[in-house]
Amino acid sequence: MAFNLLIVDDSNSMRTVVKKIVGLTGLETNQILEADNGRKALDVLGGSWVDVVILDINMPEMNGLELLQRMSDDVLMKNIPVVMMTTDASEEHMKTAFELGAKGFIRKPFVPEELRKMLLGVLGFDDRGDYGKRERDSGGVDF
Amino acid sequence: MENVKEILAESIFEVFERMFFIFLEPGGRVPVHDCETSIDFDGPRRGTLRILFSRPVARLMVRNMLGISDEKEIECHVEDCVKEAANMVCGNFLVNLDASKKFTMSLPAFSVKPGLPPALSEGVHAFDFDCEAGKMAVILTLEA
Repeated sequence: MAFNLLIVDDSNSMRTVVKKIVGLTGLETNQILEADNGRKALDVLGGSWVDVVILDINMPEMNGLELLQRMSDDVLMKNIPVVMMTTDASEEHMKTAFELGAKGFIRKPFVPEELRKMLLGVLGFDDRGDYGKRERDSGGVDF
Repeated sequence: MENVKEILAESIFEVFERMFFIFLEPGGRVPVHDCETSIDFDGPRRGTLRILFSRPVARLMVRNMLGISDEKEIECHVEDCVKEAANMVCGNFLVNLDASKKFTMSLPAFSVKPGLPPALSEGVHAFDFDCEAGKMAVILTLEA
């Protein structure tokens, strides 16, 4: 099952790294979409099917938490899984992100394996890349 | 205050080793670097973090982070890459300093004409490093 990924980070280098790591996971991607701030991400989300979002917090124009708030208020966007990927990992920011519906949190700097495991979990794959974990586990994805 | 310096050192090493695969060693101070990135933070503590690089160090960061070897392509990523380094070092430092407190960070700035390192005084923590590609320095200024 190919999926569409949206990477929202104001650093072009970080978006490039994430794309490379996703390529190494072996997960089949249909489209990898990018945005360098929350406002542009909203435009992408409004016009494209997105299966999972990887989201930075500290960005110009609209930061990651503001985008998450907008997504949680939108009936079509609120169920899209979001993984926060940020240096800004204070307890308050993490609490806010999870309250707004984030499904995971990766602190930069990260190693590729952390991102891979997080994506597999959010998308419902097990560690071997087999699909169906999310359906089998009644308690949802365990992080 | 000594604790602040230890926390900063830990944050620098973590970012450079995990993200850029660069292993830093303590180095001697040099008066002038080629470029600088800086980021301000505010909250329970307010201050500025500056990272000063020689150009070869900045290029090595890009090469290692992105796995590219084309020199023109590397040069295109230098500013973005070193700004992200400042973002990561500062964010990690603040979380390691006190994860229960909320800090706000500015967007990182970049300059090819770095200012001089400030004189060492209370509230200024400076590290000079050597790595395989050259020299760099990290300066944290904490306001009282």
